[in-house]
Amino acid sequence: MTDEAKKPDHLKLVPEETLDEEEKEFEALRRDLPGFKGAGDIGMLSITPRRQPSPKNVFFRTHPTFRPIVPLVNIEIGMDRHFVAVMPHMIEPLAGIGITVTDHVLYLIVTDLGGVQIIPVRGPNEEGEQNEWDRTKEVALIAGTTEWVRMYSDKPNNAYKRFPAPASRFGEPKWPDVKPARIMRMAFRDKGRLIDSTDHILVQKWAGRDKD
Amino acid sequence: MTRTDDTSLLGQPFEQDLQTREALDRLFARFSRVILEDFEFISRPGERPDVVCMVFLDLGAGQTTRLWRDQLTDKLPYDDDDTLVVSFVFNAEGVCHLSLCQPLPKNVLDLSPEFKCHVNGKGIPRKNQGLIGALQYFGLDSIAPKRKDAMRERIMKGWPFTAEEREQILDYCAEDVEMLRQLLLKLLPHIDLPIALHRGEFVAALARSEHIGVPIDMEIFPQLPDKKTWREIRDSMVPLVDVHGVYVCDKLGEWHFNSARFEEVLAAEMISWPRKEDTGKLDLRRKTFESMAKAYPQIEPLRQLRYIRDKLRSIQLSVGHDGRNRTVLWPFSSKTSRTQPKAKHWIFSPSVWLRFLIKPDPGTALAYIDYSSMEFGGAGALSNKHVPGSNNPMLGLYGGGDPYLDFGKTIGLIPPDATRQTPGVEVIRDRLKVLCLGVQYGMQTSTLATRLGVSETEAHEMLRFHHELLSQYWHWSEDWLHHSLSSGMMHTVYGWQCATGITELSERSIRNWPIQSTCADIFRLAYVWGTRHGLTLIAPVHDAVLLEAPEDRIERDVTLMREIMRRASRVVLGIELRTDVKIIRYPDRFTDSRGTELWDTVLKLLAERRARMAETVKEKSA
Repeated sequence: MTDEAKKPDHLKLVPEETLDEEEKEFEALRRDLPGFKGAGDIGMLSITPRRQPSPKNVFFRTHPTFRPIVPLVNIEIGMDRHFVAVMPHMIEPLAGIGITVTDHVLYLIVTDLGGVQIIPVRGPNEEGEQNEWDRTKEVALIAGTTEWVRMYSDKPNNAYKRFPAPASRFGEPKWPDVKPARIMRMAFRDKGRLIDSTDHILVQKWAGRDKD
Repeated sequence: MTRTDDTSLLGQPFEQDLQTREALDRLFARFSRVILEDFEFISRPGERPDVVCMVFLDLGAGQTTRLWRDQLTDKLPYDDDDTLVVSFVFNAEGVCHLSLCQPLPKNVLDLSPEFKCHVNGKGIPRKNQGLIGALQYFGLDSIAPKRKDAMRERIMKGWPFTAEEREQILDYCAEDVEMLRQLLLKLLPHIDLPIALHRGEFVAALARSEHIGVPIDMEIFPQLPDKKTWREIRDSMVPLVDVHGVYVCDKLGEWHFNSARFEEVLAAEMISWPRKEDTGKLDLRRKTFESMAKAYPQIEPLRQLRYIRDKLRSIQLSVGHDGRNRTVLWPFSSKTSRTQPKAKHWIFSPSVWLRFLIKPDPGTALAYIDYSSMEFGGAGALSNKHVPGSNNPMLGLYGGGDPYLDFGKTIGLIPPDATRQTPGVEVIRDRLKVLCLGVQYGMQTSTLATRLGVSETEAHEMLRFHHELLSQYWHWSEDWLHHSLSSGMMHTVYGWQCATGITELSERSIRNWPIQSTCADIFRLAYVWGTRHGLTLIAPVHDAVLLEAPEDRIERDVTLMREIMRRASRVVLGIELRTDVKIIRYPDRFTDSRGTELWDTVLKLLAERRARMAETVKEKSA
């Protein structure tokens, strides 16, 4: 039996105002304040920069306007490769210790499973030449701005190929209501992957000054 | 003082003392009096406690008071205004107060749930989560367990006590209070007082429920605990319930579950049953049976029969002389903070047919008020805030009234205009319920295929639909998993917590935890709130409450409780969960469709036995 529709001749013994007051009292007990986040408001949207949409062959859409160009280092850390962002004033010091920084265009994608990811694409070099993998990756990402697509690697041709999803299989993508600056912060700074000074642990390591 | 002395003062012991002192200061800033109390009592199954003595310590004054039973009255022995009462497992103390006709203290701090919350997920076995275990955890001395057992044994033997025994028992009770004081000082820096008081209020509300008990039909119940009668019924019900002949009778007349025959039944019913990976034999565990019975209701009677044969060798339901089922409700027992009474003593055990024994007293009525699809709605609400501003389809499905039916319609398994009454739809809906709740906690394709009786390809496709349609939930669940493992801790909005990475490593368990624990938060809030308004809540049953009221007031009390439950879900989740209600008026009894067949069988067998006995008596007298 469900009842919510019929409002009873209501709670004559307990006025609604009393319940309202008590509701406020119980609300005050919630512990989702900053520093003690609860399940409801944990707000742990995480964005990870990846070489290609993950998992492989997943359908995705690309954000139509998010397109910053950021200097990045693509480096092996532990057993994985990671993208590390570099502040402009750190490019030269890094070059001094043999670390090459390259400009990348960042694309924001959302997968059909709701994953939000950043896919960096390395731009062309000074001669205007671009790696074929990067060029075809960018083509697929741009196609994703208007339709659901998935990309897969065509190894014999050293390129990515794209495959559009059947029409109306997926609805319109849902983008997180987060400002671009916060996206960048979540993807790099919050993960310790933004080199903004020579004190950064990676710079110390590359310069051979870390304790290990 | 030299610099070295300064440094030594800042060492850990001093730091800890400082934290305790600060916490004590905060405590005394809030309350003018802090009382630590403990009772000794004689407990008998189903009866209210027979209080032997009580000892309490006024922490501020440092004064201990020892009171024997004849010194206790119907008033609290201390001034309760602006007082905090500290205890360990307060529901025990609470029922003692109530059995003495004393009011319950207004402010309760129960150290048992606080300690459980502190060590939850940290690998402390449940048996070491009592008072002695808690003291040992903090490296404190405690009473020797053997001495504790000996004293408890003597107390349980009951009256009369010699003068010497009286002194020993009072000493023992005072030792418990002293242990309580030591534990309080250690735990205090870890306690969030407003939340702890809320938990204490819930434990006090449960003490009321324990005190009142659940009304049992005393015309039928007394026939069941008799071992001979029950053995006869257990044996006689096998051929009646087991229509497929899965049980086989040996030469001694004992019935045994026959796996080969069960396999034949499964083949005939076209049920693909889970098997053990190593041996390939049928997986006949209780949990597997429970899960499969939800997907295949035709095996539910067999499941219950199996439970009766294996687990219910005797009926040990704790029923008092006043016809009330009472047992310790053990709040905060599970890692998700759910209440877990001992199944064999509790009327709401897995033997659903036993619930038919619940019968209101004349002039009263009972109401079973249940949150509907609570876990689905809760999961939708928790993941709703994950991507601000978006419309979570999970909440859309919940809002439609029947999320499982609507999910079936969305993925095309159920026709758009079908209802639960449409022939064939109920079975699909029940299976989709298994799907929705199972995959929510990480059920994989192969298990799902087995549970639903579909091919792995179909199960894979259904999972895929679920992931696509409810992608927001999956995104949240994935993030929850990673966040919990990387931070090493999970929290609910009402402060219940569980460490991860020590014993909590299973993906399914971590995904499940926030939903179950948040539902427990909501339930606790509603229970406390309802009790504050004088509603007689007599039993917590997972996501439901059993409410008792005079017949002419039941509708009004139900209305109020449902309003409270609606608001409680709003406070915790930000959305309102629906409730269903079933009112049982005297002389009707509690019913549950899952147990009807077995209950009818038991009644029939009892009647036959009575008739046989009457005939025997007649023959003898003739």
